[in-house]
Amino acid sequence: MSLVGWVSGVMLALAGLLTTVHVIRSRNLADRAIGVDMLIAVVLNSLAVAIALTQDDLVAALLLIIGLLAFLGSVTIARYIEERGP
Amino acid sequence: MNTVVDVLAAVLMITGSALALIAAVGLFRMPDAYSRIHVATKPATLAVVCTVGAAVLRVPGPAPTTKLLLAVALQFWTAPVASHMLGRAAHAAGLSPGEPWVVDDLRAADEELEQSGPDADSPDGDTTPPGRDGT
Repeated sequence: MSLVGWVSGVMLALAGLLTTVHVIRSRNLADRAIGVDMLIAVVLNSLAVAIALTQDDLVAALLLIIGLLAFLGSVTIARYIEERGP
Repeated sequence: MNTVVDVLAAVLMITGSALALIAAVGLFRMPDAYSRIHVATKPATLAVVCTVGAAVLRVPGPAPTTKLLLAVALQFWTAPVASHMLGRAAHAAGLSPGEPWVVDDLRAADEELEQSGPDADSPDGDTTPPGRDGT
């Protein structure tokens, strides 16, 4: 199980790194919002993998909270872009 | 039995992580914002289902299972709405697709709304035509 943890951990870390590079390199606000949305998804995946590896549901509530906050943030940024442009 | 569950959880974990990695690569491969939204929404639902499914299989007891399934349900409700809003915002901000539009119903609806005048607007007044208020 620790090998599985390493493999998925490395893949998720790589995904987070690539997404961060995309956020930094993107030229407009919409692309950045997409990248941050994707970054939140990577964080949610990492938390779920951590729960599965440790068999401890201490951070299970964080999945709920971060998911809800990410939704509110994305919608807010989207409204902002709609009104103000990229 | 326990081994079977563990192997299943391992497969789900690897699948979810691989999906996230593929989506991150897709952010670079895709030509425009709309395809990037399409790519970035996949790990928010499918990969989360995979990894949270692994967590549900590994953690015993009803309370963690309830919390985790609630998180998945919330993700399924919110992720499509969020990406839809981002797509609308990208359209309203005037981002062009990689190829010319085949159908642009949102633009047509905006123009129709503009022609019918501000009096016929919806009460929330969100009818600013895209890219013409000169940000």
